[in-house]
Amino acid sequence: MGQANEARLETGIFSEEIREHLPKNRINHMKYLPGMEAIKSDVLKEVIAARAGYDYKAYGPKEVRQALNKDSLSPEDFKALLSPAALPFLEEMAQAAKVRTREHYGNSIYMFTPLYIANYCENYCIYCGFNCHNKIKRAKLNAKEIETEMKAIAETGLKEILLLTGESSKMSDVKYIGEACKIAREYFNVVGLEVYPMNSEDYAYLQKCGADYVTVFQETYDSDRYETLHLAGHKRIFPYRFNAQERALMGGMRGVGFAALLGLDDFRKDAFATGYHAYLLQRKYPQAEIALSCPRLRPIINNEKINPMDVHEAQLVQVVTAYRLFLPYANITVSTRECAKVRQHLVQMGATKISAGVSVAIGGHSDDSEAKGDEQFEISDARTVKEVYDDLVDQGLQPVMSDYIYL
Amino acid sequence: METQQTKEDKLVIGGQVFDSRFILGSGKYSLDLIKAAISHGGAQMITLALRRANQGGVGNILDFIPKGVTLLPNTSGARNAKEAVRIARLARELGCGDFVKIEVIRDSKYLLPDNQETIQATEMLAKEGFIVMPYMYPDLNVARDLKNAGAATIMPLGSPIGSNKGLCTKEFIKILIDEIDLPIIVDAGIGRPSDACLAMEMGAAAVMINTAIATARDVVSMAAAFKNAIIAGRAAYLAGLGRVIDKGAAASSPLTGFLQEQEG
Repeated sequence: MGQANEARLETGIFSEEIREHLPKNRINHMKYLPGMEAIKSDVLKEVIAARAGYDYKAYGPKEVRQALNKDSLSPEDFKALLSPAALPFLEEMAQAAKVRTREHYGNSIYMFTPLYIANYCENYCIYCGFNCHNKIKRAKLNAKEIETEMKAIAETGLKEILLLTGESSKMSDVKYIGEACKIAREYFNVVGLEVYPMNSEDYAYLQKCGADYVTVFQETYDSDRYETLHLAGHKRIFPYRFNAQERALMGGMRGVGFAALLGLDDFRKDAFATGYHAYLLQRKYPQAEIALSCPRLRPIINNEKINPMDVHEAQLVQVVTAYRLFLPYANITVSTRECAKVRQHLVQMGATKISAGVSVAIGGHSDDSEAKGDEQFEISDARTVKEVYDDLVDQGLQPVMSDYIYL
Repeated sequence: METQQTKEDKLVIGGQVFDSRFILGSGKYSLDLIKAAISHGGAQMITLALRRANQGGVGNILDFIPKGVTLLPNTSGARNAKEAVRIARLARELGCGDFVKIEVIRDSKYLLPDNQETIQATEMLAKEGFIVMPYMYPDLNVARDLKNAGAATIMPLGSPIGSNKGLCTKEFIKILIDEIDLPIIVDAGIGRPSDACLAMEMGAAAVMINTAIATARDVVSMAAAFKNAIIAGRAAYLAGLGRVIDKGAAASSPLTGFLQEQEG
């Protein structure tokens, strides 16, 4: 780790406590561990090089206007729209994004809910509530409990579910996730996964069990920064995580989701890398469906140091609309990390998918089950499925519960 | 504007007779759109993406289709012929009838149809007794193959689906209309009533519209506008279009005038 990174550790999101916890002998985060499948792919190299070369200060109003006038945007145009020079053009970007979204998706907004089936985790990611050093109530739902939860969720009318686990291949092995997929298949049309990265044969197995969408958040695309945030566990291996979507597609998954946790590092560069990663994979696998999520670390109120890299609502709008204009065909998801107000605005300009009736604890969807394990983070939009549905209709949008038949 | 000629003019697909030549597509659907297309657009055939048929779910689309409207289930979501066949069979099991629109797409960016797989799916489903309406990229050889495979109509795209860009493939659709003895239904890309009118003037048997109405400010009025455009275009086709004079007036001294002089 270089000096520059040490310096960043001093000023970033780290608390005293965490800095004391930083283990001294961290393993090489760029080297695959035994059992990790290495695929032949240049995508990582291309994304990292393009991210490193992205100097957003080099773009001005001229480049932004040019990008806004185009039907089909190049990666250069995408860079311009993510640059600070584009901030004064937010309204124009939002209007253009809205047109583009309606062209591709009409008024449809897809609805789904996440179900956390386990929160055991072997990783040490300093910003995450599930990290292995955090003393929280750990739990794992058994098959019967999973079914009870799914039944309760299905009764709300939802047809799409996203299954999540903490990242522990010991406590939540591939077979366990597969069994959950099989149960989910009984109740839902679309089963997505947001679990630890695995090999392509594992993805192929889970696809057969009923899942067909895999989302993996890269968190940050700066590998040095990544190394300082993910101190231990499989997740520490940056390239293995990066190539997860490609392995999922090789395993026969229909679609893949991408995200950077905006605010962990330079969000402009990370948003660029996220979109470019998705763009390159779609070019390589033209049949792949692409989805992007836009989680952000919310700026901390009363933080004495004003951080110019904070992702405020304006920056979030800039990212969402830039994603939309660059990748008009991609689904864009906004989670309940954002409050109802922000989500209601974002579905008018570019977001096409929102969760509803969310619990990020382990269990807790059905009336007769109490949450067995603690939450990953605090949600900001606690609306029920019906409330979200009705609000979308009131906004002139069409809630869509299912857009796929598993084949 | 109805004349004896337009009155007797019917669209026949797979033995079923339709008065309307407006088919509602399914890309962007909403219950309001369906209602507008039926009551103000006069649509008698409505495409249904089976993958979106919320069985028993909230806002079940099947509950809103009135009697007298033919459902055209499509295979959207299929990436190859095999998947298209499975979706079509599923549609039939669900009671959606024998009509099926084949969509085989393995391009998530432009959603352009895969002609080769579409021919295979058409052949398999026609053999199973389906009334097959394949969506395709307008290519004469493919259209011939589709006809030989048992297609009931051919559905070439006007421009990329959802783009509202109009009849970018106009010249190629014209070739299909001239050469293929099946109803040619223009599907995808029609953005304005004038596009629909032009397709009908060219001799298209019907047009499929979705995004153009779904994304209009006033869905109901736009549905009505399309209805009128389609009727006008069809009437013009039946009436036989007058000649188009390219450069001002007709030449005052015809090149073959001398023939008259010689005889005189």
